Amino acid sequence: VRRHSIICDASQLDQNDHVAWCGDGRETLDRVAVSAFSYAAKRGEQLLFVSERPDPERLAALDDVKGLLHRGALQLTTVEATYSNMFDAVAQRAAYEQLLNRALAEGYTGMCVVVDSSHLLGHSDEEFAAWLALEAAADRLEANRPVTGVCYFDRQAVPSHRLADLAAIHPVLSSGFGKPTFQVFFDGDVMRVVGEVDALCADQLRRILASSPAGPMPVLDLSGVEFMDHRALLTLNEVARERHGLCVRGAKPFVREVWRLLDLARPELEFC
Amino acid sequence: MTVRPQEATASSELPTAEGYLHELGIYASDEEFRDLVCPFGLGALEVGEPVVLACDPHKMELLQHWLPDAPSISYVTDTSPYATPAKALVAWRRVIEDHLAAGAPRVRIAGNVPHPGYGRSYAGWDRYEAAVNRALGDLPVWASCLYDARIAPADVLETATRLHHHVFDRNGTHRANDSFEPVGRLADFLTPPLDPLESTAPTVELIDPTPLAARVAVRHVTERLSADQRHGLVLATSEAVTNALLHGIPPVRLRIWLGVGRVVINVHDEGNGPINPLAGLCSSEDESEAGRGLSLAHQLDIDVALIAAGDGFTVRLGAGNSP
Repeated sequence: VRRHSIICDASQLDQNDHVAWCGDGRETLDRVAVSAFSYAAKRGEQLLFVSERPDPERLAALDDVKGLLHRGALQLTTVEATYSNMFDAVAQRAAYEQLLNRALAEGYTGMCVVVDSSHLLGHSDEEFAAWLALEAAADRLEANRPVTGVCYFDRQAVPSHRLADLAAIHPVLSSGFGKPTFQVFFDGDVMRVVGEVDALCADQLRRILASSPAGPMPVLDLSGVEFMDHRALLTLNEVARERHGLCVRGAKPFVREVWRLLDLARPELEFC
Repeated sequence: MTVRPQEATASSELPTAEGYLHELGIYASDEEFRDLVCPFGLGALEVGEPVVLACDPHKMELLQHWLPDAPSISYVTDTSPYATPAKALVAWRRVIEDHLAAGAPRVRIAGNVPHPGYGRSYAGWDRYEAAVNRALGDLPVWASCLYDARIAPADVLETATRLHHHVFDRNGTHRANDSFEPVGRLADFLTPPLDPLESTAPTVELIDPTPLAARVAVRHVTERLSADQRHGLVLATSEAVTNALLHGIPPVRLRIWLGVGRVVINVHDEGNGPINPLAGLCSSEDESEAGRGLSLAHQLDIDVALIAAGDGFTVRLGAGNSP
């Protein structure tokens, strides 16, 4: 099972981790980036710093920052340049994958990406939904390839209900987030749900599943789900109808029992 | 007292109408019981209808003595599928549908429900009697409910008399019941007696809990129950708290009592509870999600009572040892 946990120190990160880091202001971001990059550099990863103002001075605390920049081991870029395809998660994922492949070809062991997109996340619901789709695409890549991903969210810029969605779509969280009721993340090519889903967060689950690219839904692994009420299962059934099928696996007996008792006239969800 | 079997004969006065019939028969002796049920069973044999009998053990013994040994007459010996009103409705439907699938033109069922004469409360089973009409009313079934006036309290008989479309007596007279009253409100049904634990200070009390907080509290006190009962209480509490938050009137109060091997839970809000008086047993035409939650709770391996009173609506859940 892919690691999913709450951490308080960016030095604890490793490849395949995709962390949502919640903090206050730019100084926290810089500190987190320095910490994550220090360890990633030791692992031989190429470092990519994506922020609104990618000034090398901000990473001055990093060992040999000038050497890293000179060798191309540290790349600095703006959010706008990196996410020019913000509304096309598939193209964005391809661009990411290209960067990774180039890094691997150049002899790096992988890639460590620190992104602060907070200033993009206070706008319309449509833009936020597009960002969730990017997160899902990035998560799938990070689950399967040698990438360490750090997504920084400034709580002064991102509304709290959106922070809750962002927490739910990352496997690893900084301790600045409260414990989410549930999380959804990729494990291989399966989408894993962990935690509990009830009526109060069923819409959130629907939003997050909607961020999965168009086309067939990945299999949903429910083995880490400790509770689902009937409204959560109805929500999954609606997603299954909208997406022309959804297969869930690993559901615990009491979750299956709720489904059995629901006895829907039009069951769309497939337990396999 | 021994009642001679040859006195039992089929009656030609039995109604021949096909379709659904839910009737009440009250008796005060074994002879009267025989005169009610034997013509019912023998008549079924004559017209090729299967009979399913579910009475208390003494009555079942008498019936097996009186009625011929015929494959179309069956006796319900495993009563566990009939443990609660909701389960009984599901179990009966399955039995009836199985017989119909095997070619029966109509199915006859006869039996008794729990009441204080059997050491159990009638509360809940009055709602069951009302629910039978809606839950099984689309099926060709002739359901005869038999009440023993020697052990059934007067209020049980009075209530039962209001809940059946038809009545029949030992003379073989079957007629529409003038005293039948269609179901009105949840509050019109009997109020279940307090569980003794409810007279004590609750172990846990939460005001306006989230469903998650309610589940955490229930998990904490149900570690010693069976897994089924534990999951049942967690689910039913979560659903009841969600309903109270979404449809009730605040404050929502969760109280949990932990006794020796028994847990009782109240989820209370200050609203009137579901509009559908048969909530949890039969869906109403515009079934809401609240109805589904109650319906699930009723299907679980736990005690569920819905109580509409002056101070609001309470879902009472229980599991473990009998009080």
